[in-house]
Amino acid sequence: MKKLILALILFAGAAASDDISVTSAVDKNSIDSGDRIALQVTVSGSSSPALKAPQMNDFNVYAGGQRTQSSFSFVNGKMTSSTSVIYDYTLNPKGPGKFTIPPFTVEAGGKTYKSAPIAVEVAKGAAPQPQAARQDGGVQNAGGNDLFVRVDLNKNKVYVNEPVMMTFGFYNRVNLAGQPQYTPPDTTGFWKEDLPPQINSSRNGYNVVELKTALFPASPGQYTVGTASLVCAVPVRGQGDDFFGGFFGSTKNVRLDSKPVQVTVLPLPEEGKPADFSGTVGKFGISATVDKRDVKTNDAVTLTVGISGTGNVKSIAEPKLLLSDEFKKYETVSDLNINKDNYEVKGSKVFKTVLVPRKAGKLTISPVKYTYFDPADKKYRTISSDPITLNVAQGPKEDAGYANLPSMPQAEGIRVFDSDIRFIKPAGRYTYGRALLYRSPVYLIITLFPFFAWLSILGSRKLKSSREENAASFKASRAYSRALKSLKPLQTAAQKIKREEFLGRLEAVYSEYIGNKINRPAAGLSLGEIKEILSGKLKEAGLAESAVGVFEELHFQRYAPAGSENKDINALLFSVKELITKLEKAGL
Amino acid sequence: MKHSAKIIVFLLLSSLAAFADTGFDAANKLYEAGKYPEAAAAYGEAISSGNPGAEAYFNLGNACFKDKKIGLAILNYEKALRIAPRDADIKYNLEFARSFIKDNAVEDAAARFLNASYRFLTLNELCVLFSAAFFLLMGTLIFRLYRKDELSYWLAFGASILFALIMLLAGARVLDNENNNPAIVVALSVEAKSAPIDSNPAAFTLPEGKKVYILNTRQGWAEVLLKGENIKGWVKQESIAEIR
Repeated sequence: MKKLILALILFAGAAASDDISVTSAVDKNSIDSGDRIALQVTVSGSSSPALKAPQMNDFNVYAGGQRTQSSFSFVNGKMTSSTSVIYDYTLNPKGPGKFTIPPFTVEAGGKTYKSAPIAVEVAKGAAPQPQAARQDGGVQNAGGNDLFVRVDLNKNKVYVNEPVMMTFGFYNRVNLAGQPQYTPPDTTGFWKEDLPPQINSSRNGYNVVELKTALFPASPGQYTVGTASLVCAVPVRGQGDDFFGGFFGSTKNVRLDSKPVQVTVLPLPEEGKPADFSGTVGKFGISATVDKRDVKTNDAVTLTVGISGTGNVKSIAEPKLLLSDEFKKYETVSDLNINKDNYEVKGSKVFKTVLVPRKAGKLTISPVKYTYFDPADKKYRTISSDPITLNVAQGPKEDAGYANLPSMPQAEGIRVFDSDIRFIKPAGRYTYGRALLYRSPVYLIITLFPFFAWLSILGSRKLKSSREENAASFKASRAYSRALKSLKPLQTAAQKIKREEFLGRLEAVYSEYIGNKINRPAAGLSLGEIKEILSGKLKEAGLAESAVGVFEELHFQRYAPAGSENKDINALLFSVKELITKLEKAGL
Repeated sequence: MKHSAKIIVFLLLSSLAAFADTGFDAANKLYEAGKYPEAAAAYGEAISSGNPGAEAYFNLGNACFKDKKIGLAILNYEKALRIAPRDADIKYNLEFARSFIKDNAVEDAAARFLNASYRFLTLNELCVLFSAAFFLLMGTLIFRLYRKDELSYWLAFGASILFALIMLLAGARVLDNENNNPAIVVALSVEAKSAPIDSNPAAFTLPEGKKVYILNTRQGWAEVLLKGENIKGWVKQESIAEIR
């Protein structure tokens, strides 16, 4: 049987990943009329729409719940997944004959999918028994009022998602031998939440055991809470008055079935239904907190929104956060907390969202709103949290990842920043080329120009002074011979000219000689100056004094009054000549 | 009359500039349109056809960066910085691009400052400054030929000190330029070998964008020096590009 199902599922998954298939299978095709048929209907495909059971007048139908199986298969290298929902039914034929189990249908995407009809033959066997008192193998229904079970709902008309309290009660007045076996009723179409613990009490002489379950209807419509059954062992009193039979005879298994209960599930009223209605039914409150109020920009703040109350807590949807661009929002994680105290489904769902303020200042997180339906008042209600104000100080610059370069080259050690390079430049400022100036000969020549200028100025100055020097030394070198030449005619003319004239000419020759030698006109200098220059030039001691002495002697002879110590002019001439020769030899 | 002449000269210059910059402007448009590889090619064209300005290299570097070619981006920023060493944008983008490579040899603040001062002037600006200092020195010396007094002495003294300092700096820069051949690794991940032989195992790896100094070249191989780490190795010549 299981293999069959598996094969069907796999076949369905492999054949059509998109399509939906409905298959039905029975465990046996021919039974006795007292027997039952196990029917499995499998809806498989990418989605699992609701199954519509057909009308089956020939059978008593017991829906046995549903299970979901997911399968993955690889077809041509492509993975397809399919979900199979398997519905179990137990069929009890009402009479013998040949019957057909009509096709089961599902509707999805505007199409209808049907399962194949199955023919069943029911042989004439034991007469079908009423459900409430059926004898089944060793199991016997308790005829009397000593034992019974019942299923009660606290209301028969509910809104979608409004909880219904189902109470299964087991009433007994006799002692039981052993633990009863409980089979919960079929609650297809409801989301079930068991509410332990069981309640033990005694009422009107009965021991009562109650199990409570909260049922949340998923969609509107007419629903049946099926038969809950309990198999328990009760002691049997023997036929007659066999005393011991009562103690030791033994027990028999009794099966107790409850009556199915109808529930009408109403759709939520359209009137006054807000656009942002969450779909949650119950009674709830909302709160919003942050873990810190004084933060810096780019610091993470955790916003915690808690919705708590009574109702189907699991169906609480994530409330919408209306945040301005001043916040960066990260993913929300939720945490569910269900509390079943006092046989009520209560609890809270907490949504934690990490927010990062982008700018400094006082930032406000606007109130978080949530809308639910209150079945007690039959009204929609919107709850909202208080606004939260954050004091945001300027933090360090963001360093979170270079946004414009999502895939940087994989070069070693690349770090990633959030900023960007600076933008391109227009043409204009530095348009000159990159030739190196120091390699250009023109540059070198221009650079060296002041050196050449300096050099040439220096050179010309040197040349000029050396030329002057040359002229002087030329004169000096020729001074001696010129002096001798001038003295010769003076010697011959000594007797013919006047004494004063002779002395004047002798002084002129001498002074020219000295002037040539010291490269200055001797006539313009005082005797002291001449003496100083000469003593710098002559090494021989006393020579400069005697050279100056000649001037003095000549002056004296020339301007002395007549008659007083007239020296012979020839002797004077000779002494001048001798001194010149002496000076020449001394290197003047 | 003078005014109209000025206008004519201005028009001439601007038309010349417009003529020279058509390729550059077209490349800028491509960049702004987000076509980075095309923009890079266009900047390359503009540079090779006579606009080797700092802007062109800078923009080319930007285009390479946006095209995720870090090595080429750093290469072109370096080239731009050689022309305009005090440009803040170029410096910023170069630093930014460098931050994407993991450089083991990180300069400290003092070294950075010294290096920045050393490279404050371009080599050509330094040459002009050197010439000016030399003119000044020679001027004071010539002045001293004519006036040998205290003023001329101190002037010549000051000028020679200034000249000596600038000559040291310029000499260092010129020698640096002549003896060092810096290059940038432009290939993605480069293996350096201990000898220019293909079969040799890799001695170390170089990240893209790393600055190396070429010591020798030989048959498609280049011997490079990593100054900070002080290691040498041979890499394929096409995996690096010279900055000059």
